Amino acid sequence: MNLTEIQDLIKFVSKSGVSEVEIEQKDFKIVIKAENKSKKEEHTVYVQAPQQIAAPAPITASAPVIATPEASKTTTTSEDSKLITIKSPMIGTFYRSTSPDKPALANVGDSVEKGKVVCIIEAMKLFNDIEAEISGKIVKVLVDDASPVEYDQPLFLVDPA
Amino acid sequence: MIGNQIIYLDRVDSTSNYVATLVSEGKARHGMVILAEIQTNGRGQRGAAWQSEDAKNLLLSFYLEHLDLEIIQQESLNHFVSLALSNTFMKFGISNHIKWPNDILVGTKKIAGILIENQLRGSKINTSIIGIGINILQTKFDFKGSTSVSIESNLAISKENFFAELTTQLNIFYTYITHKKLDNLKKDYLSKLWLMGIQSPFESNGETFYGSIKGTDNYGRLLVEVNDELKTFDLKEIKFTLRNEP
Repeated sequence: MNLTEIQDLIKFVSKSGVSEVEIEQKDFKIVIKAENKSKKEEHTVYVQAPQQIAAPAPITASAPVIATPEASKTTTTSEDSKLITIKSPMIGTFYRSTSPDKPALANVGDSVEKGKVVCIIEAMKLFNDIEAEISGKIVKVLVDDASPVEYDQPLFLVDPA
Repeated sequence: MIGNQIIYLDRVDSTSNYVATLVSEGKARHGMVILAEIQTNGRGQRGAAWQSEDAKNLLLSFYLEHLDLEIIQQESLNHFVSLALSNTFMKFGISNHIKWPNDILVGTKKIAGILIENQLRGSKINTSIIGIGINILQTKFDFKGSTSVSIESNLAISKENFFAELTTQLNIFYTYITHKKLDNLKKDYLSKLWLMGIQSPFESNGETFYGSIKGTDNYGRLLVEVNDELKTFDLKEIKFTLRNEP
């Protein structure tokens, strides 16, 4: 690789928006990193802001401080509209696990597939496995373990896959 | 037919768990029965262990498919299984009652228990795993509110004899489900219900009172007449307090 080729490569990288290019040939290796990397990071943080609200990760850059409140607002509204509720098909008692010594069938953040059992509802000693009607991720569990539930009462909020 | 295929196990954690595993592997068949000599983790209601002296009692689970029952009709499963059990005891000369919702009592002592687990598909009950524990040969119990076939009968009734009669009765009462004669099933069930129409002591929310059982509502909840007023009780809302231990 001669000097012109290297210059061309540098120009290409800076124009293309690619942040890093690494070329390795026999006896030769070149790594070109884009100059505007810090600006890009700021931009990335802004885009990722909604996710970082859910998981309280420390945000160090200054830009996100402005970005955060705005982003959280849009997140809530967009999420509300697309979330799906799993409701109780009967009057009974809601259980999150098959027995008290077993782990919960579905936790917040778990991915569930259509047909997966997410909870048990007991009615007069009849134990009913309640399946997810859609695939997605559990966003919220709306009822405490071992509490009574009414017909049609929302049990889980699911973000459809 | 219930009992068309029987799997006999020496030892298992729980016969119902075994069925559930077969279901998840796609190997469960309608009517299949799992029998076990020893259950290492037998389950009763919600975390309550079903304790059984090794190899002395009848421990089994069976699997039903294509039930096609509406959720509101699920009480019928309690009715058909408890009636089949009750009639089996009658065949061996043991008078008994069904304690709401699904225990079998001789006098005030429990002789058999039922654990029903349904799998819903949409708004219907599609399949069910039904576990039954019957005290047959055990004569000593930690809990004095228990009894067994051996204690209640002078006949030498083996586990095999009892099982044969039970499968016959289960198949008879299951036809009520398949023919959707659920009202008949409920009528029979109420006729065997312990303390039905008898003024008896109960407890609810820490308060004791006398009342008379009048039946069950559409959800299977207990209807009790208390001071000329009909009250509805969920499973957790009422306790039977009648005990006539010797």
